[in-house]
Amino acid sequence: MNYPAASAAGGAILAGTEAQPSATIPAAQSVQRSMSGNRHQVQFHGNGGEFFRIWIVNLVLSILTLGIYSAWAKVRTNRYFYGNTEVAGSHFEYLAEPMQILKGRLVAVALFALFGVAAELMPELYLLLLVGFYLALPLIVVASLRFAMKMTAWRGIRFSHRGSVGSAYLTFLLLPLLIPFTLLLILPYLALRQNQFVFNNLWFGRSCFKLNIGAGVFYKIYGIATLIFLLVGGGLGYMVASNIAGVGEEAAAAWSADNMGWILGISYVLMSGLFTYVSAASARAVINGLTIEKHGFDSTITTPALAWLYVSNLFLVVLTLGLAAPWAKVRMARYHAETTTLVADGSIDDFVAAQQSEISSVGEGVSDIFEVDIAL
Amino acid sequence: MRQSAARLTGAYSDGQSSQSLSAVLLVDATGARLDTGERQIIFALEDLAAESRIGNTPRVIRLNGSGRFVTRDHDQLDGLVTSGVVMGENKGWIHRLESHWHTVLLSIFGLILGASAAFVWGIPAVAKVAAMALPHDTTAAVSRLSLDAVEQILGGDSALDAERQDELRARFLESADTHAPGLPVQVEFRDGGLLGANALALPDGTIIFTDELVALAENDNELAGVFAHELGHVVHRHSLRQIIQGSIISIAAAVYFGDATAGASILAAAPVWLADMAYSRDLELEADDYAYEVMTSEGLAPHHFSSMLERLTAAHYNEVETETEKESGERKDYFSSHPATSERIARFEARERQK
Repeated sequence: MNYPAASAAGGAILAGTEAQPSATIPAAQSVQRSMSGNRHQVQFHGNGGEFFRIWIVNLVLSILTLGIYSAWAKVRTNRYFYGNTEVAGSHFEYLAEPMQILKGRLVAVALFALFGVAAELMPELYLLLLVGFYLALPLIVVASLRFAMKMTAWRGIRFSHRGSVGSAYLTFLLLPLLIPFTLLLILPYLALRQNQFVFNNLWFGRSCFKLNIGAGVFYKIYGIATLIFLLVGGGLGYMVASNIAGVGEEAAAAWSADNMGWILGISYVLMSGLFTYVSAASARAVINGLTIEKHGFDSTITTPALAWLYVSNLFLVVLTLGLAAPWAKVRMARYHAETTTLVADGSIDDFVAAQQSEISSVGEGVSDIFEVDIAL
Repeated sequence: MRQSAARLTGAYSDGQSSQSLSAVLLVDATGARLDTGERQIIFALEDLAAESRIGNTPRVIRLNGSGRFVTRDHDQLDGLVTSGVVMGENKGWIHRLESHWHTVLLSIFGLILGASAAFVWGIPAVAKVAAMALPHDTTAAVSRLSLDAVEQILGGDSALDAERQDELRARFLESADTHAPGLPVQVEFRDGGLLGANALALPDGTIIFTDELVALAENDNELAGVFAHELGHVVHRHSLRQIIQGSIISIAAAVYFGDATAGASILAAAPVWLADMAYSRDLELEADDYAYEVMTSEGLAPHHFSSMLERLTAAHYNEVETETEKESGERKDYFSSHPATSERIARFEARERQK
């Protein structure tokens, strides 16, 4: 269900978790925490022009090698973004090898081809494959989280994800089955559970992250979104109904034809706006609720700022036929970095690396099978 | 750039704890010495492994088993790697490509050129080779477009009497036997339903004529021209090629736009659709060419096909003309699965003149 929200918040922590209060943080919010420790605002040092050159070379070499180079391209891109993201003066490292990515991609391409052929050739097999894919989703979530975290390090210490396959099935498959029976009321609770799965199983060396928020936070966010939806959507529906009711079929059709454009436009803006609100508010709540040892985090993500970023990036990319994509990506990374602050209580030099055995023993074997990146 | 001794400034961490100490790494041809102020560690050169350079991101030099040294002294480190003093992934050439604007401009130019060439020649050629290499059965098997599916938009059984159907069928099958022996061609007649006057070639070799089309024709030679065009679709495996071309284009669009931004997947749909339409127009022209060959070898005047096309277009325009089409006089070619009738007729006439 909510994978994008969970992984978006995960991405924010990874890509961005550094120093000195900046002018962008409203003073009132930071007072409480800054009294208790050092604030390390996450910094992002990449720039669009530099990344553009990396991006275009990646693209050309990928085309020339019929896609093979795309695995190397992904590693270079990730190394660029991780390497430019700094907390307390130290950058993040992306440690995956291109061959791991390549294997994962070959598997994905083979699956894609299988799905494509089945869709055209044997609808029954296609349905079966879809069901199989759905059943495998929690496994894919676990495998990609494990890979992504294991390949991330800061000051030479690796992150790891130790979520079990069983609890992934509960969180991403079984609980979502209850959605229809609870009239969607379970959705905010589900969002909490999925974020808990992602963050309560996230380790940095021998230290585990803790997500200290309750379901109430998500009920508030989803409640506000629902309220706005009902008000605006209801108003729109009422207006449409009052214009086409009782005027006869022809007049109703004519009115619809004339007004459908802007009605669809408003609906699209409404839904995108609500999606942005839910992502921004959730990411903010999650980051603010996150601790590791005695340290906390502070997020200043806001819906208007994120919405502006989405909209301006969309126009940037469309108007340049995709050539401005590197700038869009850099802007997004900078925003996520600079809105995140590590609020350190005492020294941040005391984290200890986990032993290799500690990491692989919790894997139930799956991580060995999936020692490749299967997220595209 | 070649250099065998250097003094790199940066930070050291031991790989066990998250402590980061500012440090200096002194390297020369005999070995390396790490100096953190409090502590000095000596390394053999074989213990050092430097990361390749990406932009101006800090680079890690792994110190075999004893932690890592991070530095931004790129030029000095590059010198050490180039001269072979320090082991490094030798990806320097990629970084050089990435750091010069002229290679970048060249890349953009090459990208546009390469993408255009792939679009115009590469993808259709690959699809053609692939489609022709597969046995004929796959064409039908791979396509969802079966007679059953098409029946749903057609209007049901033909109102033509059986005698007339058999007469036309015999003529068409004889033509198919001459020009494409061995192909499992079948001829069917149906009420046009939503399609009106039209003829369709299904991937399995079934060619359907609608009653409306038969009624529209002034003589059977015109219908033979239409049959030849549809036979061209079957002979050249257009359904399969369309599927292959469409798949390649959608993967390429997803890769290119997927990199861009949230919500960009919507962007990918439009160019994919436009490309599908462009390819479809090319295939129609190929079928037209095939029809021309068949007609000349059967001694039929090509005008039979062009006049049929004109009448077909006129028939459809009266039915489905929209506001914008009325204004612009002709449909916008880019959005159409078939080329403009005028273009198709012009091609026919041009070939006729060349003879």
